[in-house]
Amino acid sequence: MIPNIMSVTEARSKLGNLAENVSGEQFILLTKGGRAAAALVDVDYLDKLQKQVKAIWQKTYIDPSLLPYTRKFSDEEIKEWEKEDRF
Amino acid sequence: MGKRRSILVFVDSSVLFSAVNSPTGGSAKLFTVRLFKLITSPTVLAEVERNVRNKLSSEYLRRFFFLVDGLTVIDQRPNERLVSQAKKVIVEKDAVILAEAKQSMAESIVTLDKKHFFTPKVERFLGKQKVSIPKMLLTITPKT
Repeated sequence: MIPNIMSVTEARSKLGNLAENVSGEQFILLTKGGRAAAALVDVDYLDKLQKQVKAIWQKTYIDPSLLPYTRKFSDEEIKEWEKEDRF
Repeated sequence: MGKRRSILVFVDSSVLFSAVNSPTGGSAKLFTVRLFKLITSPTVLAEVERNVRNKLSSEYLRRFFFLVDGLTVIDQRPNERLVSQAKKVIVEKDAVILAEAKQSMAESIVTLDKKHFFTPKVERFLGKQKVSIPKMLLTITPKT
């Protein structure tokens, strides 16, 4: 989805209209000093996204009784694996 | 022409984590090849998920779940006797996963930890099971 992009200054004067125009997955990216600063998003879409993120984090294969058998990977070994995995 | 039998491959933690972390690497490529039936254990899943959550962002967690959908998760728990035996042939940090791989009875074990898994002691411990890195397995794949 390609967002509409607009500066905060430009958006300020027409915020009412803009709020009416965002719907579904279409959103407006607001910039400040040339950089993305905020987004004007349909509240239903935001709610949907928040629920999706929550669902992802709630799903788990971690069985607490197995955790003592697991370990934390070091950054060094992850780098080694990346090197070995290059294809 | 007869249908080629799929090869049962045990995916260790290094390969699953790397497949999540790097979509263009050999580990990720393994998940796209039908010749392999990829299996893993609940312990590997717990270990990888724990590290994905600690080290990577939610987008990667989503990818982790996606890749796990393409795996067969075997019903096994760590076997203490095998883990003790594994500790005699590999560094302690890798003993659980080596024991899990042995217990799985897979024909092949895929890892990115060449330093610790590619040794004569580990080879003897695994018997007929062969250890590979993803690149090695992919070379036996017919071009698609």
